Amino acid sequence: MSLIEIMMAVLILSIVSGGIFLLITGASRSSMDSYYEQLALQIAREPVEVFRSFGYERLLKADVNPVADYLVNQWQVMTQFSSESGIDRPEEAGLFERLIELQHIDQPPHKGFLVKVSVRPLKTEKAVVYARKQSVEFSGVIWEQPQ
Amino acid sequence: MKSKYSQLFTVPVRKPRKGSLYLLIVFIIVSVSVLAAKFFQISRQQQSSSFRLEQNLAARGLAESAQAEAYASIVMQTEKLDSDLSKWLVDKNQRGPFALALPATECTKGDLLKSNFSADIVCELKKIDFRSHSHEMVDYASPDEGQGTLAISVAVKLFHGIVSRSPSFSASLTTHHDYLIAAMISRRSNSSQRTGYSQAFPLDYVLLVRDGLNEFRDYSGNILNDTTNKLIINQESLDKTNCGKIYFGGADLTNHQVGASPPLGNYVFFNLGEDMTDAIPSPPLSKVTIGQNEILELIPDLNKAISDLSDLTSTVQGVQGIFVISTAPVLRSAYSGLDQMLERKGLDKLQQIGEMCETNCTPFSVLLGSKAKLTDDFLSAIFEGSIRKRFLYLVHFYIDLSNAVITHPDDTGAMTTSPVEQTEVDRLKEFSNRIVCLPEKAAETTENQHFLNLLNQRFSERDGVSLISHLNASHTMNFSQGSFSSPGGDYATPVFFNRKNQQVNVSSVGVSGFMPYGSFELWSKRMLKADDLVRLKIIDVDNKIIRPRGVIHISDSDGLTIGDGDWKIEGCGVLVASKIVVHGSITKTKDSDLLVLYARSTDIEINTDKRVEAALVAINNNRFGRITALKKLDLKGAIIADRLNIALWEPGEHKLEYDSAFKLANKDVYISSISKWTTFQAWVVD
Repeated sequence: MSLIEIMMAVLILSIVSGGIFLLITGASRSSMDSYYEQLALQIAREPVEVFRSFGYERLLKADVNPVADYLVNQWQVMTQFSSESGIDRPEEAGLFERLIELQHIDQPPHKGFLVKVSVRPLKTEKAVVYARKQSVEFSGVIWEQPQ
Repeated sequence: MKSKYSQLFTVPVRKPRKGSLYLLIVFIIVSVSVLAAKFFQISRQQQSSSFRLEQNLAARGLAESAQAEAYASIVMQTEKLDSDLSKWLVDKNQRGPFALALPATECTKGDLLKSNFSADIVCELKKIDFRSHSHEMVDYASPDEGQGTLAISVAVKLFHGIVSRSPSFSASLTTHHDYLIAAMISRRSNSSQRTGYSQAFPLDYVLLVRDGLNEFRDYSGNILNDTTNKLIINQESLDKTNCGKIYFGGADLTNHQVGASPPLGNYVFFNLGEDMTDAIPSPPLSKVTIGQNEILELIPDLNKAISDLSDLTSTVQGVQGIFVISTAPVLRSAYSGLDQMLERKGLDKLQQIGEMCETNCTPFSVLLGSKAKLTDDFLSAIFEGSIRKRFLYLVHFYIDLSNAVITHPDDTGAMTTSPVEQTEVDRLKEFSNRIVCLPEKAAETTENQHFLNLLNQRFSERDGVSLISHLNASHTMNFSQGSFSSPGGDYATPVFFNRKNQQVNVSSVGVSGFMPYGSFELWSKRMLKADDLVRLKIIDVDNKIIRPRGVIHISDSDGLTIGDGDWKIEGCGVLVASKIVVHGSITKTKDSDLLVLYARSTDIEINTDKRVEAALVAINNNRFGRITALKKLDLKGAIIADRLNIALWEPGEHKLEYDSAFKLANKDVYISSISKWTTFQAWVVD
């Protein structure tokens, strides 16, 4: 085996190893990105579910009487456990912050609220490294229900 | 020749080891590559799953919003009884799905999707099952009444990209809700009786007094013949197919009570006043004549007086006793002349010896409208049970000497006759007084004791005609004169059922007794507090609107109070409470609106003289539910109560008009109530 052969082998091995490393790194990042995206979606969906259970009438008073842990129009850092709402979240939920926006809808004879939720990783946390998207958004409509 | 260095670079290669490193390297590379590729593939799949999850969540969010709009639309559309959805829901024969449009979701779905996505949303309703019987397995009056399960199915298809024809994701959300169909108006023909229980049966009546006969007896007939209060029941604009019925509970042949106080027959009566003279039948005979011998039996003292007119050889013959028979109103505003004075005298005596309601000689105070409208045919559509008219049947007696002659022998000894001369008649003056023929009970209080005793014992009837004065209540209540000898039968005896479809007496109590709105399973809301009514906007205090929907039960011990102001009804339903007080007017927004106020424990108080358009039902197990009008009543609807107690009402005239919307001969009116609670949910991804 000549030196050239050995060098060629090392080169090929390096290239292949490099490729594999990049592949694994990309895949790993993609996996983490998927995981964080799912987590972010879960966090984003939560206020829509909670508001749906509260109903339209309660949301009318959300400005003057905010729903605990679901403040509107301000970024809120997530916690693993909400003592106010009693909702448990995954440990990594603390890597994110959330913005809830309410928009009143009037579609006669129906009235409702469009709930837009944005979730993004905290800049200081590792999630920002993995998350490809700057933020995840989820929306739902809470229609006024006849009594 | 090899150089001296050649050995340095020449490695003796053993044949068997040549290529194994390559193989190892290749093996490692291939293995790592495969693993890396697999890892990459898994990672891609995870990313794909994540994307699919994202679509799943977006689709589900869209479906849930659509489902919420669908539920709201169902509730709103079924408030209108004539909407397509109401008809579909009520009609058991319409088994196919109902396509429900969701315009609001269509308009807002763009806000719920990412910019490169579009969605199709289709909503269908399906009736999963329907049970038209109670938990006791008793069929409801109508097979359309009952409880069912409604499936709301929302199918969502997501399309990725602008031109994509095939959906990138599709799923459906199905939720189940219980619903009720309850009859608010149950068809009833005025010419026939019900054949089964329907909880809305009270609306057949404009006036139903459940304990009517007993109240009539207990309060001396004041319920119908009262001096201070008049109840004017207006059905002028209605015909016999849509008028409201009137029944006084117990006043029929099925409820005969042995040993009851008067009237001993199970009837109630309307006293005919002088404005009802046309409705008083003429007596079958105006006069009954008896001969001298019978007169002398009745009036023995007359014998001596007659003997005084004659001597030993002469006799008086041809003295007649006349019974004059007449009929008259129970009361006149003034009495003048001999005949009317006799009426007054007879009336006074009859009142004196009468008991309880027999003494009531007040003309009837429940007014039914113009006589022209109230034909026999029309009344037979209104009245049920034994309802009679009552008038004075007066008999008085006098001695007639106009045909009397004195027979005596002339000079030849032959018998001749000559009229009784006036001077001789004057000698009988003490017997010229007219005697009112009264029942034996009155004999002790008159100077004609012997006459009345003997009259009652031996001459009470002659030629099939009573010779005793009395207040006659044997004729069916109507406004045609009719024939005295054909008093007419009673009106149709009403038939009532309990919730088990068993025929019951009107006086029976309990859940198996006489009970309006007794199909509790079909009540749309139960055990609400007064605050709940406001919260649920059933009572909209701000806008003064009452929105009944189905049977709504209020459990507050204070009952339900409808405050001052002008309230509007929007909807169709029954408010059930222990007690109900109304301070303001209540009017319907449209003809099809319907409000029943049902007090289950005590009374309904109407503390307003403004218009109230509602049926008032005060029926309870103590049989003491009453309607109390604290001010002059102006009610369009119906009164159904255990007792009327009209004597406790504000003195004056009270108006009751039947709402013809309560009476439909050919169709029922149903209200549907859809529960907000989800009993089943499925999210199915295609």
